[in-house]
Amino acid sequence: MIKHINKHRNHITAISSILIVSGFALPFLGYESYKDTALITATIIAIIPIAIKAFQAIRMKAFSIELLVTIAVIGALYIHEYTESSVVTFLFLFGAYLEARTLEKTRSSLKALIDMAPQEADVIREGENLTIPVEEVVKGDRVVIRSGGKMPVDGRIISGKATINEAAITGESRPASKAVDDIVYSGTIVDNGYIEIIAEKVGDDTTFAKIIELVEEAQESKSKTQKFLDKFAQYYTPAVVILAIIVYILTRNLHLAITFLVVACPGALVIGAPVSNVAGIGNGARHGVLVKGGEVMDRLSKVDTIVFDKTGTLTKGMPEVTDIKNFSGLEVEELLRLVAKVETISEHHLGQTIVKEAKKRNLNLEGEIINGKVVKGNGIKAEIDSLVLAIGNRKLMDAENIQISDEVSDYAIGREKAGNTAIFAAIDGQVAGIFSITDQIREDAHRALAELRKNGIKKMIMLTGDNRHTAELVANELGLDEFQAELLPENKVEFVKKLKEAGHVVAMAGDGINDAPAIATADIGLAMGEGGTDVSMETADVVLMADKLMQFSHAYALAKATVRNMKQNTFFAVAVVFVLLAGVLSDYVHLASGMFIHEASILIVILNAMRLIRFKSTNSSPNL
Amino acid sequence: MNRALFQIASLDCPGCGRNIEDKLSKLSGVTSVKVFPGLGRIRIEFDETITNAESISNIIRSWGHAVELKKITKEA
Repeated sequence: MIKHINKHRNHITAISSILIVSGFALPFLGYESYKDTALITATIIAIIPIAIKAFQAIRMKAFSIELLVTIAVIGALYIHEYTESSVVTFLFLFGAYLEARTLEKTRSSLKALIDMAPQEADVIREGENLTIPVEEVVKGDRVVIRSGGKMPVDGRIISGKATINEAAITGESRPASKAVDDIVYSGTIVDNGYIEIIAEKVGDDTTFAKIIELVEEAQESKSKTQKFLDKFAQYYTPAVVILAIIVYILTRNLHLAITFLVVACPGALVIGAPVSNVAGIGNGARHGVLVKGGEVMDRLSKVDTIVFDKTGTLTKGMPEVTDIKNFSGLEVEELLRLVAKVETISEHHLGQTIVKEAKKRNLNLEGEIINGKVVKGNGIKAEIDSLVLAIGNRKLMDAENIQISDEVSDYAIGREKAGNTAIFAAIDGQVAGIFSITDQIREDAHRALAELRKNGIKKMIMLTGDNRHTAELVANELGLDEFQAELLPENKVEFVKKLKEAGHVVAMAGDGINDAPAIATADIGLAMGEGGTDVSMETADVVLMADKLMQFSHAYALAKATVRNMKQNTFFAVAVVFVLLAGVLSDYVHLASGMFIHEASILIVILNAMRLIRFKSTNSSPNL
Repeated sequence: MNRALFQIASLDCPGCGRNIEDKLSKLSGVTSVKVFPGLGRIRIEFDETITNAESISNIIRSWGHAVELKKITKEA
């Protein structure tokens, strides 16, 4: 029954409006006596869904706006104010209808994303081509995607190549080229080409599904202001009832008391803050920026200090070996082969770079590695081909008691001043070579940092495990306020803690894996990395899906705009309540007009929030 | 620590979500509760040695919500 009524809410609204109109028309047709009957019927029909909601809330021990309206309408019926009672109930229902319609619009960014989800998949099972619903794809399935097709699952390309529009994940509409061994994400579209992938994540586990889930929940997570307003409403609503009773006792004017009940409804106040959040978070999602909730939005807007990791955050994170200086009697290729072989067990990006270089030169890295040991933050040690290798920075050389001659040291410093990371490779206790690796500064770094400063960031600091010379070069190039080099992950955590203790509101931007502890420590943890890793999506407060610094500046500007919008709404709502109260007390505002202003104020705060959907942080950022 | 995701009908009264959140977090073995009222989504972290998803869902049902257990993630 209740479900039935709720389903037909809109019909009820329509019927009540017809009854009201006929109620007013009947007297002109000479049926004066039927006027009240029509209006009473209109009131009763329309109050039913409202009263049901009020009752449901009471059962959950919560006072709702519906309760205020129900009491007011019953009171109006009691004093024979049928016009007022019918118009109030109609306006309330009609307002709720408009509210639902416009609220839906504030969620349109998310809906646009959800609509990108594919429905079907072409798979090859036992040599047979099948088209199946996307839910039936299982891990390990071989999936075919043709030009114009949507990726149904996350997977790795096993054959073919394609340019892929990854806007659904990254917000970036410029297609990316992908080939064998690259990862593709569900929801992205093959712009041109043909690929076959092996499904790795399906259903709810895909990155796309996680983004949707995250954004949905973020839109519902409340900021401190919202929580406060919720609490406030909880006491405010019953307080209004009591006040109305007091008004009646003092004035003996039931009409005034009822009007008071209606105009004091905290409608716009309750909806004003959440609706800004929903629109703001939706805007972020469409631009590849996941902001995890209203509270994060709030804190992000207050950030005054940003701590950046260097590698992969300010730089591209795709280092290359630019030079190998050989101090040993070995061939350069042999030196590279030995070092790269040891580095195969390293997960460090610099080690991986050396491995990549060796593979590029088709060196054979097969073979046994004995006593391989990673020295965190410093390098790696191992034995291969009965040689003892130590590969890493100066600290590792010192720790291993390996002499660094002046010649070697001067060379290394020279390379570092030129922006390289110098990796020392020692064989049997002697420095055998130096590997120079550079990582270029991101193309959008200058612009993004300038935008961030313009929007109110006071201090930018870079923390890196890399050497001082390289760090200095990057810091100077980007005009950072401060840098700290040669840090271990735990040093970064300490540094962030100190900044917080000094009263700064700190955002830490990093790649989400190495920097996870520091990201978790900061007021706002921000993870970068294409497609986002599971870890970063779990721990970070803000996730940048397209791996672009410009997204950071957008997120920051968006947070400021969202909080500003929320404040405007709250201020406006409070002002409306005061104006209404003054109007009632001075006898300018009555039941129906009070309800009209109340509903109009709700629509205005929603419309104000909708401006956030189209918010752009810069005028010229097509590739945000 | 295990994590469970429950689905109930969406709640549209202010305060209802927090009510459920408060009541659930008082259950023994439950370490964290997050209720998303509009989505009707409840995320719970619990100690599997003290309670389990089945009994939590029974409790939610006893409060008058049609509840469905959507997902359990086990963690070491």
